[in-house]
Amino acid sequence: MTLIEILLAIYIGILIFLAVTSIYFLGVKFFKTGSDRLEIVQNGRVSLDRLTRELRQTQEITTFLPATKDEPGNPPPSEIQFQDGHQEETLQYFRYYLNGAELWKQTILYYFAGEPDVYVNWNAIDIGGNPPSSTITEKIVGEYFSSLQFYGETPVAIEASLAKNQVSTEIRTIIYGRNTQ
Amino acid sequence: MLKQTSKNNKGLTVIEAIAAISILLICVLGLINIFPWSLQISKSAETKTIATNLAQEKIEEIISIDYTEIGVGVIESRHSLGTDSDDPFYKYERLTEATYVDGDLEDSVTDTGMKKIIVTVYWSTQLAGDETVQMAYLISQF
Repeated sequence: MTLIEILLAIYIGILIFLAVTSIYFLGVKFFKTGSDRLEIVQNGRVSLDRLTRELRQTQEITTFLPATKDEPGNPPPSEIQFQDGHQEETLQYFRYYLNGAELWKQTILYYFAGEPDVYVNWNAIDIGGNPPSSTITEKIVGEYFSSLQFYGETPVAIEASLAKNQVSTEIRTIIYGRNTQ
Repeated sequence: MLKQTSKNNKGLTVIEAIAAISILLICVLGLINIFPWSLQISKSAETKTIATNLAQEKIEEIISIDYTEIGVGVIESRHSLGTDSDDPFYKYERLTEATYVDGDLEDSVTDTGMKKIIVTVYWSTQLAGDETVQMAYLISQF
């Protein structure tokens, strides 16, 4: 082997190495974009599934919702509170709200201090005209939300935007409460 | 002590080297095409999720109205679900049809107290071209 041959071999080797590493990093980038998209789509889908499942059964939505998305002076709220329609024994309410980019779900029990074991309606008042006390437990449902909107009285429209890094998605559906009065 | 066992000691020729490198290059270029393809697959899955929810949306709207107020035939002609091209739902189009069905779920000419609602959502993706998702729902009078 001459020196020229060795130099040529090293040069070609470096070229191939650079090509392979750039393809590797390209692969990593594409994989990341793909998994980010799957993650936001999954978060949107699961959150909407849970919301529609529970709103379908509810008897009462306690959050005031505008009739349309662009009602002047009355923007759609990013939270919703409604009665749990899956349970008949315990009167309890769910509240979905955005905490930064995360969707949280609260379970709320209303009661009066005199009778802490009797759960009452969210808008109940005692003899003195005072609102009830409440105990709240909460848990996270979804993440990567950039916006969440509820509008329309019944059926209720849910519209969500989600974003992670460079990818974003929007998802929308409408749900009719079968038990809503 | 070393003994020449073969007379072929020329090593690789330039032609062979070029052939090897070009084969490698073709393989690698073929591999690169997989990346955008995988992105299109995840994009296609995303549009299918969105379209399914948009189909469900129409079904919920129809459930909310009274049986007698639901027409038969094309209830809502095929139209875009966005107001303008900036709207994320602009590329989805939806067609809603209803028919009377009998006890065997066969189409019926007369009202037998049951209607079948068919919602079709149309859109197109780079990967698969025109795609549709269809949902059917039965609504009874009683």
